Amino acid sequence: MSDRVPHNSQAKKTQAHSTLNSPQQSTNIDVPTPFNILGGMSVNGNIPADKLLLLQRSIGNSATKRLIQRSHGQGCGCSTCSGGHTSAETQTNPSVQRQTADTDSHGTGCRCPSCASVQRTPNLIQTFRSPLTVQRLMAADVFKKKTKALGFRNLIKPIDKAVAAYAANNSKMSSEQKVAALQKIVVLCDSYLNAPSRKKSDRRSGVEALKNEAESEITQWQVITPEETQSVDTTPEVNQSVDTTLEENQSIDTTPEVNQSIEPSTTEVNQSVDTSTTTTTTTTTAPVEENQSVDTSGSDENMSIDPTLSDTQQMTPVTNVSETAIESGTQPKTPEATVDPEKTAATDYFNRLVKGEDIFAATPLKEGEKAKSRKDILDLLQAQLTATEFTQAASLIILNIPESVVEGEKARKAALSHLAILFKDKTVARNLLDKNAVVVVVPKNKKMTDLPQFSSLAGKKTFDGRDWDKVRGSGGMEINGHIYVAVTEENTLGTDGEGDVSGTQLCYDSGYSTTTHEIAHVIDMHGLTPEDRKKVDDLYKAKKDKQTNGEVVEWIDGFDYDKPGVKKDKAQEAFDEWNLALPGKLTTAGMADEEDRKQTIAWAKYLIVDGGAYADNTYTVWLEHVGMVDGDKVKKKDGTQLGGINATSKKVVFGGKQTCYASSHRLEYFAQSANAFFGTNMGTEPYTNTLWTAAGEADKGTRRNGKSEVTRIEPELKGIFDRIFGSQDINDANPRDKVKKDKEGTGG
Amino acid sequence: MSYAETPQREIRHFNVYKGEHLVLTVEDTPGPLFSVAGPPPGGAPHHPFASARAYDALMEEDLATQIWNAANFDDFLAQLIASSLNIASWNDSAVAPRTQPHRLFRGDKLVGALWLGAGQFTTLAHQPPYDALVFDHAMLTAYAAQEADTLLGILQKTSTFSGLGQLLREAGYTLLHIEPRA
Repeated sequence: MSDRVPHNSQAKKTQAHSTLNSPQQSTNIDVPTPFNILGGMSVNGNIPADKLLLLQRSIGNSATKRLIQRSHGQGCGCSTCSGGHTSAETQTNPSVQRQTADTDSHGTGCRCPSCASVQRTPNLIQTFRSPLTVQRLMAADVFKKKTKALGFRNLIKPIDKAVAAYAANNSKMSSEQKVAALQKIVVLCDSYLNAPSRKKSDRRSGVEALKNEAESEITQWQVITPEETQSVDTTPEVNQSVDTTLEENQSIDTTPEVNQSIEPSTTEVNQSVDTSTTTTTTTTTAPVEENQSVDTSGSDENMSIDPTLSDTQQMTPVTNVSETAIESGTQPKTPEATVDPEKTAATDYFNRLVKGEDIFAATPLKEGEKAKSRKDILDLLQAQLTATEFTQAASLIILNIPESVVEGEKARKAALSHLAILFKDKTVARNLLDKNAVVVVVPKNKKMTDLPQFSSLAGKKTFDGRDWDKVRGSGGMEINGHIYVAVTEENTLGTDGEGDVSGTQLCYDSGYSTTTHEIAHVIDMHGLTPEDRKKVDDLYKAKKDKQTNGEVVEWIDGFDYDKPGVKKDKAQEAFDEWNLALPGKLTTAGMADEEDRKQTIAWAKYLIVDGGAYADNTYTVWLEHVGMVDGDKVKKKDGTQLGGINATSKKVVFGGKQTCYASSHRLEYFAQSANAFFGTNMGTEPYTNTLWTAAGEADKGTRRNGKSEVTRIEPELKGIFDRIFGSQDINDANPRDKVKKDKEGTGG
Repeated sequence: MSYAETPQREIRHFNVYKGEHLVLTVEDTPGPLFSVAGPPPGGAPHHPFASARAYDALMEEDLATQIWNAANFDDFLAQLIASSLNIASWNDSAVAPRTQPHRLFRGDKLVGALWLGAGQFTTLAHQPPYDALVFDHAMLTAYAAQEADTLLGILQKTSTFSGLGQLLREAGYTLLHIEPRA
């Protein structure tokens, strides 16, 4: 049995196997990753062999070779420089910076004072013709600056600017913004390519490659974006005036191509990355020659970041831009993003995850390269990726969408949007990865036991007496060394079960997410630190102790109706009320099973005569068992209708012990409270909602939902949630009502 | 003061292990029976004398059969032990495997079970409060009440698991290592 079903796993294994024997045929060579255009690559002069291989894998052999040729120390390409100074030195030494502005034209852009000479990198035209190089150069803001300083690349400047803004801001962008920004790059590239004066440009191939790369990445983001969950409209329209700007620039450009090629060619080295998130509303761009001062804005039209938008609800590509600088919104003067190969390797893994690859599968090894274990890879990702990126990586690793899921892409987006919040904490995410946690989406037309992960349960029964074949979802079962969480397509998307499982979706209320509930269980059991788990234990025990001592305690699912101060012992009154509401309905009519009839009669007698409480489930009687016909409604004494109770879907409890779900077990306490924190605890509490003894209480059977309720009822628990889940709500969880309404609206 | 005279919980609460792995938690009070599976929308069934939560999907059916067939809580615990499962005191919600599971015999009589690492001493009938008798080096349950004082005394004299094992052997007990998945 396969423990996990990665996308195209068999194909990948086959490929990995075949290439293992032919290292030279590595498919990674010279294949840009989706995030190549984000650039940010720089190379230290002394590259260890293993890091070199990572680099080669990331950007290709030829590009790596060029980088190495052009770099030493901190990236100087000149022969005079000893290369001993650091990027920090460069950043803080004014003389170095001046040198940069004055003499930064010798290929690699060394900023050391000792570099008096201005050297031209050989084969620059050829270098610029390389699509990969152009992309990388254009990815760096420093290149834009250098371009301005030289004034040679004014025609391509709008493209540079757009790419630089994308690189600088992308970690704060929504996916929609990313797509829009990429579309803008495509528009700019088209403008360049369509310009009559550029028909013979040496840069056409590079610009075309950039355009293709941007289009490819648009596709990636359109696939990944959990669009349905985005609650904030952040779509930046591509400002058409940019085209005009481009034309204006074109009209004033008189720089011959040959001069344009004399430009810094190793901007990968010592990239100075603009991390500003400043919003500008400029609709036209001044001619380059009028804008010679170094532009450090790195921003672009309509590239503003909406602070209300979750940065974790999107799949954010990895860049090497300073995360701290971005998050702080500050604009470093000359931040030197010295990129280390570990970061590059982590980026590569991340990008492969985004593509749907299994990063733990065997890959061809280079000479001297050691195979990385799962732990090695996870260590690398945890160390090198930002918290947001690591969350995304963990989500992509842990989430398993079988190909048989009917609306696979929608389910994937919805699940990822949930996981972006659930796995926000790096420690929690890593703990789950270490436990081999897998969240499997069960197709809405298949039994859970149809999936290989759960097939061993076929024909067996659950602890609560159900057939595993009919169960829809589970929270953290350990099978064959994995911790499996099963969530359902129908609950994730708010639809109904179909085919073999039609009718087994079990009518969870709209807005109540079994998906987040089940994942919360696995976080509780396997993701929390022991300290946090102990805190939750203590909180739960403290509440239980209060109840034991006679205090009335409110839980996130309401009250327990079997505890001192709450218990009503009003079974007789309840029976009277029931009989008044539906006179003559308290019969055994319609009960086919003789034992049931006897039990019900006994039950009714007990209620009437003793008015006491049972301690087991025999007090529970389905409405249909007491002769209530479908469609009848229960009315209270005053004639008002008791909402929501109909003949066949609810039970009525006369007396007896009942605890609400959140109170019933330490694990449910955490999972239900977490659901309320996310905003996914909508609907009716199943244990106490029909508790007749509590009739008349306004809040009977109502789940509490939302952060304010968690703050009110579970303030200490909310402190833990705030820390590990952040502040975002999960919107559109199990949107059954919305889906139903949409269907009705479309006649579907 | 003998162990029988120490404070005890109002409601007993135990973990049930199969070798190293937690398969069930059970309390000596009427309540719901929870599966690893998602909850039934109508609520979990109530049991007349126990509330419990299963952690091993593959064992759920057998555990359900045992709990519904048991005459009372103590009978249920006895059935679990008879089916090669072992009982430990519940004092936190950790579900991680407990390593070095051992069964403890006096002659040919099974008298207890122990695991490596922090945990609480208990007997089946008399369970201390959550924070009492918690030891860093071992979690030990005395199945035979008459052995409680001796076993607790040995536990209190030691600070390492190996030291505990040595003293137990010197006191005439036999330790049988349980295979992790046994």
